[in-house]
Amino acid sequence: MKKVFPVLIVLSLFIFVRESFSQNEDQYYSTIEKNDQIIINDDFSVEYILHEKLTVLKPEGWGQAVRRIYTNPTNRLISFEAIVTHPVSGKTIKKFKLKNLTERTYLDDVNIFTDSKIKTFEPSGIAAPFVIEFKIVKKSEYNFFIEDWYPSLHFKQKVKHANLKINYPTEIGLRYKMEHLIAEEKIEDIPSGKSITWSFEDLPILDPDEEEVAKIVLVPDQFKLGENQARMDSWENLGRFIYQLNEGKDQLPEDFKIQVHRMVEGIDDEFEKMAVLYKYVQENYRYVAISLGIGGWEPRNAEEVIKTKYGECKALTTLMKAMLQEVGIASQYTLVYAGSDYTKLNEEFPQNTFNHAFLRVPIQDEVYWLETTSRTLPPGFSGNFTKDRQVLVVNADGGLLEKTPDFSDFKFNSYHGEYHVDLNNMGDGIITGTARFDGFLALPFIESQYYKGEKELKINLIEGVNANNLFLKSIETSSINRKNVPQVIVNFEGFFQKYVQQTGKRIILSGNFLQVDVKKFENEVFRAQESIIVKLESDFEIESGAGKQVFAKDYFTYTMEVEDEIDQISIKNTLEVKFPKGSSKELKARTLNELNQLSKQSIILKKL
Amino acid sequence: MKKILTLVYILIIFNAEKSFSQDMKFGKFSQAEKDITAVDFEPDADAVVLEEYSVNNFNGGVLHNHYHKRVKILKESGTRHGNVVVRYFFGKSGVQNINKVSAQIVNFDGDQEQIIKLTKNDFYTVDGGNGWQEIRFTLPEVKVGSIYEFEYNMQDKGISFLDSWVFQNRIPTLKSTYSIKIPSYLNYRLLAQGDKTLRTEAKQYDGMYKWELTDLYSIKDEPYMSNHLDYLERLDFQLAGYVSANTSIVGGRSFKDSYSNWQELTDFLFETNDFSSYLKPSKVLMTSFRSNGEENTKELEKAKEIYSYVQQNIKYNDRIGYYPSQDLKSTLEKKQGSRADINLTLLAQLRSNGLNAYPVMLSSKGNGRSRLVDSPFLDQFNQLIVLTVLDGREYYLDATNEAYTFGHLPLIFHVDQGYLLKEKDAGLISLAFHHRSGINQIGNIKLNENGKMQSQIHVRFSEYDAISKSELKNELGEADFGKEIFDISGESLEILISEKDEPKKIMDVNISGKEIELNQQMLMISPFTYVRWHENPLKADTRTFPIDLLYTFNDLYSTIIEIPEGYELDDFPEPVEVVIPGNIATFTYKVEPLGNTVKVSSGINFKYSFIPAAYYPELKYFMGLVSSKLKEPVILKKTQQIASAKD
Repeated sequence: MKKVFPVLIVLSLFIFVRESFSQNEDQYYSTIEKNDQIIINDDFSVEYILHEKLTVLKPEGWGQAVRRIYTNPTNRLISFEAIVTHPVSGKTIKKFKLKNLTERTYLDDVNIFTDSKIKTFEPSGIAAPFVIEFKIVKKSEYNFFIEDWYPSLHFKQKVKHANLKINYPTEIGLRYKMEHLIAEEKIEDIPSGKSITWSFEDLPILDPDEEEVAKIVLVPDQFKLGENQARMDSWENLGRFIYQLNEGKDQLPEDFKIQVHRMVEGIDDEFEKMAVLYKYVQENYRYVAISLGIGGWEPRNAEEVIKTKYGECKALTTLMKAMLQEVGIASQYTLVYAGSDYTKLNEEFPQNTFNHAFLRVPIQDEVYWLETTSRTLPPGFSGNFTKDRQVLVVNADGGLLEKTPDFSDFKFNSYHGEYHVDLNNMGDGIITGTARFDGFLALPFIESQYYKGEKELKINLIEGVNANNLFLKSIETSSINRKNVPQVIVNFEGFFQKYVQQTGKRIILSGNFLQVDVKKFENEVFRAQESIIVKLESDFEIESGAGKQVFAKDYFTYTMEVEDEIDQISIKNTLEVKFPKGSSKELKARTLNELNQLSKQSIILKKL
Repeated sequence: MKKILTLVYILIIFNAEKSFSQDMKFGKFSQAEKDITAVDFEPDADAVVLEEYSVNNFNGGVLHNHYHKRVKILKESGTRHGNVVVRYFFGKSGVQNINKVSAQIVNFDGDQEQIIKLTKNDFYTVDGGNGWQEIRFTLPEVKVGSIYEFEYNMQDKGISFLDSWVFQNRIPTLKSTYSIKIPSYLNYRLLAQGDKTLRTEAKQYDGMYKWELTDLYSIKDEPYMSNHLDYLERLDFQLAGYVSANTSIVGGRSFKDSYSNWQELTDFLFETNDFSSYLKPSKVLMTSFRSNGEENTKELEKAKEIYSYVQQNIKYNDRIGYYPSQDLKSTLEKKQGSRADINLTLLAQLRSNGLNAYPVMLSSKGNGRSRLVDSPFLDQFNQLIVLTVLDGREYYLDATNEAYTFGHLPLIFHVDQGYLLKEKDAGLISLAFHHRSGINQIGNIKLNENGKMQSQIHVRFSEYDAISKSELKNELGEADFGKEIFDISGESLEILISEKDEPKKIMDVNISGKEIELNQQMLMISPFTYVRWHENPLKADTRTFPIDLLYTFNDLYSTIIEIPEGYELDDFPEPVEVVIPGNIATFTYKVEPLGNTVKVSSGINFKYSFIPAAYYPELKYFMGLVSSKLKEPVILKKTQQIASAKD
């Protein structure tokens, strides 16, 4: 985190200069020159005055002249002008104004409705090459969220020159962070406070293989959102603000309080109480998101959720918290960046970078996390959506960062199977079995049980054990969660086409029923245990694979015990896989290869 | 073998005027509706449409529609159906408009009914862009047993093509009714689709025609299904004619048919500005065309050059449609356009080079109309391609994607018929796609210079197999592509890839396999490194819709194993020859020992790519057999062991 100090010395501009070579014009479709200004006013409003000159050299660059501007009642587009000129003669070809923009509602997969809109500009009737000069003025009523600044957002675009100047009142303060950019800022005192300027010349073209894009992140020290004013210069202060925003939203109606107490009557164990109340919320309140005004940040209150039986993540979390509070269980509203595209928080740079809320519940020596938007997860298990990342835990004293579980524990990643296979001479088998899936492996079944039905459950089993030749006659599943570990037991009967491989003289069996795939290693650990009885129609002898074999490799231990029991074979196997944290896909794939070589054609029977 | 859907063509002319009353009344429920807790024919359903209806009347040139839908929540998971979106096309000036929206939810507690009506503030209007709007709302207090319903009025000025009525929903539907009263001054063609719809006779009552269908399955996706929309129960109406004032006829009125045949429709389209700009380009624009004036160049070569030029120079903006979105001048200036724009540009350039070329409209798979009605019903189509006849052979062209070489179309375009637009003899034509797609693997497994057994495999992907692999390679990059298709992730093996477009599209991949040590008594050698299916791709045990593999193919796999010194052939898989009934596909497998070599060969031939659901069990079994068989090993054993066993 960088703080700005009131300095009088004008730092000399350090212009980032690459090796002096001119980049091949075939590498880009356009060039851009930017002179942008951001002004933070005393009333916490923010003005964006953007001036860009885009030279589109090739038809492929036409799309780079399209502009999409997001607005809502507190973030408005004040003015828009785009003048198209000929790149050689300089003659004006066309002028566009605000009225030429089309507007539509901003729709995402989360909100049923939002008052955000997208205004789109497309340079219709213009063909490359052309020069287009934009003058855009936007205004935000609040500085809670200041837009990141990008020199360029396009591949195949050359940044000839990009300038950003930001003016702000000293009392409001500003922190900034450059990502994939190097330049020294120029800081000046101005009558209204401070001014910082960055200049960039001849920047390298964005590489499509690089996931990170060059930008400057801007964050206020002091901010306003609606009627609320607070500081964001520490996680503690940001948390304190969220706490204030939520204050009073957790009031429960009296009759509902009575209902809550009745639900946990006779239960002493706090985890059990939490489980009962969580189940009640899951069964009775559905996730519906409506985002209006600063409602993107301010939750609906618990009473409204109870009345309408729906709410967004913030409201459902607030309700859950209130219900737990009512029965004496303290919990904390927590903010997180949920989803698979999470990037690590910079602990030294507090900023609002969250998109979801859920609940932290400490009970005795354990900490559980409740995902109130899920109707199927067991209590205390928050799944992939928010795993293994830093989150902002909010309480009356403020906020603090904490890490969510990474679930790299065998109990969240294991499987147990018991099977009986009656083989015919064609190598096909009639099979009965019981498979137990723990943790993440249980989730597809739980979802299908809730949302779908038998057909999908059968597919879940086939995919769960990778047995695509399994034709299922019957299936029965039951969910038995072990505290916060999801668990599903599947009993089934079916027909397994080509359970074994056959040659003229031999029958070849795999040492395991479940065919492991790389997905099983998602959380770096996996445990499997199986017991398989294979009964054969014709006589045989074990040519190889009999007895006990133990394979201890770098990242796994696999044991297999095979016994000849006259007309049947008994196979017992165990597998434990453990990777170091952050292991690459390649390492996991190589390990899987190694495992498959040991297990797939491991038992050879000779036909007698 | 193929299920043939019989489509009905009905001409409807009405005279009577009388209103039609609906059975379902807002807020009034039957005991059966209150009692229902599950759907007999779809027991896993978590919600059900109890009833929905659409009543349509004309007032002048505007269609007035009243819509009402009622849904019951059967299970807890069904509460997710409590969000409603009503979509309509407003356009720039209110082509469609919705008003008088009302919605309510009722919860039952014994005989008590708790009713919650939504107010104005609960309805949100959303601008979806491009003229589309939505009204969205969410019902409160949705729980098991809730019944919610909503209704609205719509005024529709776009009466040339009325909105389709689909009887099914994403949840099962107990009753769905569509009624329409067409005045005497309008004449509509009706397209009915779906088993139930075709078997249902419209009821008539005072000029109103009504279709009522019951017990409808929910619409669900299945894998290997590109066109489930073709199987929906639905009705479509196209304006066929209208009364115009004509004083020369007694009574002063006559019927003006919109398009009575394909040629009329074609002539009309050709006269439109956008279309004609491509058919009759100005000389100025033609100067920017690719031209090949060389005398001895064959027609096919010329056409390929032009095709390639258009592919590379005009960018596809992902917009589909059968009609151009802009004229030729705009397309050439912007160097981008919709599919129709690009293909018409291709057509213009082919013609300017003396080659014949015609526009062909088709309905791609998934559009809901891959079986066309032989009536000039433009709404059937959603794509435009080009037909050219060169050196006596027909080629269908789509220049939007560089991955598709000359004469290859995206697989969803492989439909039976298209609408050929010509100055004369326009109409529906049969489309035939000639290609020889498949995988050809030739392998050799023998001792290498290190004294280890190693495979050298050459895999050739042809035509559509080559195109799909080429696209995958471009997406993943060469290194990851190799790992992906050869299932050798994590292994660094030598892979060499080369591609050719002539004389046909192929991709050749040469791979050196892993080395196998010779220190074992028994060597189990899998003969094939790459096969089409490593495992059975079909997992479900039942199937509702046909399976669409998209294209026919013929695969050949052949590997020769050279038996190293000190080993002999001990065992190998048994031969197999399997045919799916109906001659849909065949699979052969055999092993031939020849001296100190063993040849393993196999073939998979799919003669039909579109397989009825009735054959699903056989197909699933077939694929399971193929994927297992191709993994069976050849077994070599050390000769010393055998010699000592004899002693």
